[in-house]
Amino acid sequence: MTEATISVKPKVSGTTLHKLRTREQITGYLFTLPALIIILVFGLFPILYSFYMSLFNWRVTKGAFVGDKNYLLIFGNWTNLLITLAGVALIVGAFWVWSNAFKSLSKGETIAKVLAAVVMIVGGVVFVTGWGQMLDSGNPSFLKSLIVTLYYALGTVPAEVILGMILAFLLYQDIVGKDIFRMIYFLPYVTPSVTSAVVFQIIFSLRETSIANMIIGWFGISPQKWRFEPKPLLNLLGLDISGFLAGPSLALFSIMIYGIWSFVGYNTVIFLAGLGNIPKETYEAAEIDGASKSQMFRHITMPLLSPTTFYLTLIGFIGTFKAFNHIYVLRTPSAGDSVITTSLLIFDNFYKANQYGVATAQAIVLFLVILGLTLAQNKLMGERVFYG
Amino acid sequence: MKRKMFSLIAIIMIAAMVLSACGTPAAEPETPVEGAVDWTKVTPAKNIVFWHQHTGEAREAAMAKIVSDFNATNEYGITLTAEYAGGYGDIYTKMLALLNTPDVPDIVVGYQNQIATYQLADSMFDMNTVINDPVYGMAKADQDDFIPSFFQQDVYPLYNNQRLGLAPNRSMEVMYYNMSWLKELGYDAPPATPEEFREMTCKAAAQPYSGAKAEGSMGYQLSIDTSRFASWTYAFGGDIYDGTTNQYTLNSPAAVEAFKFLQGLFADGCARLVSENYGDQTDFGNGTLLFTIGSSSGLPYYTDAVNEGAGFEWSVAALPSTGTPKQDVYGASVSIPKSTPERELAAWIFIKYYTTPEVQKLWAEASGYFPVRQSVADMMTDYMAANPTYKASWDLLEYGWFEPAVPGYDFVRDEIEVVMAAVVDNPALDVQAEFDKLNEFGNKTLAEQLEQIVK
Amino acid sequence: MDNVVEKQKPVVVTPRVKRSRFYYVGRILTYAILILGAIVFIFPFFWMISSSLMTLGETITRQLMPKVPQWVNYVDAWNQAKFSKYFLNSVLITLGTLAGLLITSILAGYAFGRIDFKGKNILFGLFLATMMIPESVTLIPNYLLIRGNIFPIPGGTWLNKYWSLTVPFIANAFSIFLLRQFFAQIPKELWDAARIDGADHLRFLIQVVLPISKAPIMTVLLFGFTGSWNAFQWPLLVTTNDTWRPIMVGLWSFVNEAGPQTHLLMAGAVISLIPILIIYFLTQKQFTQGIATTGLKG
Repeated sequence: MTEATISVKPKVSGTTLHKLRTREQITGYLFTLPALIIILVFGLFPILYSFYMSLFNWRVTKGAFVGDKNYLLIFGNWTNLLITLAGVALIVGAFWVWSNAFKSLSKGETIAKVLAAVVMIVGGVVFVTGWGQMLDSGNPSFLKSLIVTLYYALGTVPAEVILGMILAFLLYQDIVGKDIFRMIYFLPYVTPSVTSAVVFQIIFSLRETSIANMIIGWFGISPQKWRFEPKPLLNLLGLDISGFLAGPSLALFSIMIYGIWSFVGYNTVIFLAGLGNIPKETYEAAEIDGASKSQMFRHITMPLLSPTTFYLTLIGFIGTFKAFNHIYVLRTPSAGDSVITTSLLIFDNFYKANQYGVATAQAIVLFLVILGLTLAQNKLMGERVFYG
Repeated sequence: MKRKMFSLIAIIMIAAMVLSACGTPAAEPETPVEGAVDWTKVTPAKNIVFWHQHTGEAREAAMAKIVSDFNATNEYGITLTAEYAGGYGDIYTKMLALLNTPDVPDIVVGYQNQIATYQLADSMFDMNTVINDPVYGMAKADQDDFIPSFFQQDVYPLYNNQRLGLAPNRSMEVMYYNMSWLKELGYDAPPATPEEFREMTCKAAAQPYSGAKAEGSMGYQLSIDTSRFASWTYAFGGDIYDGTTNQYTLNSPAAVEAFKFLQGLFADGCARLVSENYGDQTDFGNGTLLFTIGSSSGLPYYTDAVNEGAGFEWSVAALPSTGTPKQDVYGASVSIPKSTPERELAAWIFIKYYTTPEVQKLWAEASGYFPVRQSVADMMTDYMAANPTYKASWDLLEYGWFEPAVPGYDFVRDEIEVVMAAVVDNPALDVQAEFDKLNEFGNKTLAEQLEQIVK
Repeated sequence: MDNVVEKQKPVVVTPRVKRSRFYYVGRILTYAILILGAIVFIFPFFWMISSSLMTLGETITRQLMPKVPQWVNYVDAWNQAKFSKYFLNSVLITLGTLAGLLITSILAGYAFGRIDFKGKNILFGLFLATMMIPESVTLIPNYLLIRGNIFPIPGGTWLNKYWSLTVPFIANAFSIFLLRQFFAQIPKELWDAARIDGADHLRFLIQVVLPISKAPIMTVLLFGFTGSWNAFQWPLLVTTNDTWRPIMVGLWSFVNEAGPQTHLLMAGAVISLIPILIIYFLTQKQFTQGIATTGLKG
């Protein structure tokens, strides 16, 4: 908020104030009504219907009511799920302890840190146990797909947000040909994936003469199989790790590059809008007060850009968890399940295996995962957002 | 906020469940009307709709002509509208939502396994009820004119031998080969056995074609597609599905041998994977690839590719095999979703028309597909003379074989492709073990699907 | 405005600042990064445009550049893919969708960003939650909806009709979210001042908020346009004939048909990009004007 203001509040009586508040509420509801209707009908209804479908043994036709069977196919049994969620809760709790507990005591911080570490380790162990049991008795393909989706999200969203911010900042200066640069960075976003994918298939082709192989050839690396390569990227770089920490496969990595290329432009445009919203006067005032460029960036730009950053990170994660087109057009059988994200798995189960019940159960689980992540992000980042 | 949101969502979900239970969910099977229909009491519907997936000027023009001719000449006053409804997959998606509702199209194209999936809901019309009808049926002479394997392909043992479709066109898996290059390598005919194939591919990988218009040389590029899995298995004398026991046989000795063979080719650098869409076609056209295996419906494209590319002598042949060749024949058929007897009859009348010899000739020559009747082939001597590669493929039809027509096949196809890709690129993998696992998966999927059949 | 007291800034003439060496290094670095980035980003398009101007033979023999630009490819692609009809359809569909989208998003974004009403957070969370479900499973329930299978809809069925291509998209949680972020940042003083002048929310929205929110609104417009123009999975499902088929469905069928004809395929792709680029230029002009709180200081 801006500096202290003296505003004259009109004197009103109690009932009028109440009437004003009610009118305010009604206005609020009225304003959201058009959107509400559309979103409830076309957004909420499919979720509810999918949930309905997930309770049945639904192939092409509705079969028998099976309750939670389709969900148990994913986890094994509810205990496994509870154990895993308990693990997650403990890890989250560890962060809370770290930042909030024992503040008042003298050695409070140290105690908090130690306790937090302990809780985190316990949480980690619990989580891994639960996960292992789910792998045993549940659906390992689905669980693997969640991990692949996570790799994809972590690999693309931070890169897209940071690159978007840098580009927007650079393009906000007085640059010659600024308009042309902006358009170039925006082009990938508007290109339909059916056609840009064809181009990327050629760029990341496994031929020795493909662009990608030529480029890494300059660094002395031998030609790779790119989107056909199921081996983890880190292994190919020489690190001998396996399991979760081995990270994404080269195939997934190629798709990530395609994803980043496509979406950086979107982020840049929105960051530019955000930058445009910061009043020039604020910068001028700071400059007069003697602030340096980096100080202005840290104390003016970043905070005033934080609503935009929050927005882009949030929908970035939601988007990557739902992402389908970009992965669908570049996946190969050779890459195996290292490129099968959850949304792809759901699609395959739905349309190829005709297992509507199973697919919708998986979709509901994915939905809840995304919901959980969004709430977590909201908690973590939402409080740091500064609405000037 | 979290708690409130969850309780709100829970309340809405429960409410919706209750409401949905009262509503009309999609694709619930109606009780089928049993008993034979007396077609003489049925008047064919006046307006029917045909969903197809054909694009391209030549095919669209041919389809338009066929439809307008039908509308002008049929004695029942039926008007057919043919609509492009997307690719096979898109049509499949739309159909799944419309099964057993009045909004289904009257005629739809589909692969046999897609029709098998639709029939899980008992939603397709059995043409056996009308094909031998004295008034509207198809004369025995006409039925016999169909090439037997094509005619049989639409009869489904899984569903008590109902006839759920009719073939208007077919294509076949063939081996494309660069004859000029073969001559340079010292051969005068395409390979007839796998050993010859191996010899030639490895020689070609080492010795580029002199007339090539691009860099590199490779003997064979394998495209990861279940039809390649099927045809290589056939080439080694086996099959991927047993029609009598209704089980997949993906781990047959023939399949294992075929893929050990391919594994070897890859390891020796004589063959490799196709690296981008139509990459093999492009490389064949510019003279850097000796053999490709693909559908005969690609003939016009290959012709263009070679003419615009390195311009050499080429043709098609059966895949190299250990015994008598067995060629993978495939193609979509046209089927009739269940609706009213009037619409079904009108649809049948068009399908009969679509498969008459004159119409078949027009369609085959415009589309590059094969006609399904022997007499039509006899009528196409000019076309065959002008297109020797087409004739070469046609001559192979006597060896036709086909992939299983079972629900869930697309899902199994995906898994086959993953295993195929892993095996050829990795000599360390045990082909038998991998295929055993694959076969188990296939049969498990099949069993799940079959549970759903409406008895 | 008299009731608002603020720090008055004296008009100061800033002395000429001697540009340090860092300034020039910074500029060079900036340009270097931008140019390098641009090359990386545009390279695939270079290939696309190059291929679109080649002959089939040149694509087969994998040339890098066409010898003679084949502008005729564009004409061929346009005709073969029947772009004229589909183009018009797409324009009409997109315009209709955008009109609705702007209304719903502006109203709802304003409400979420500036009005305090009960259940606001739950409602917003609900909106956002509906965006979290993968498209593949929402296709069929929505398809049933627009065919009137779930409850009766005006017109019987919306299959092959304009409404099925527009109505489901005239509200969108992301647009609402974006506008909410921007509207929330508008200083409270503006609203207080307007309220004293007797304005209600609607007047404030129209007369004060909108004129200073060109950037976010143009953004919503741009992305709404892109989303509608590039949509293809849903239109493919709800159109079974040519009447309302939009351009991307046409391109999709063209891709399937022309597959190995890379040169035509690329020409078709470039054609479908052009309208979006035009809209981009039109909306981006608003960005460079440095939108700010023009009404605040006075």
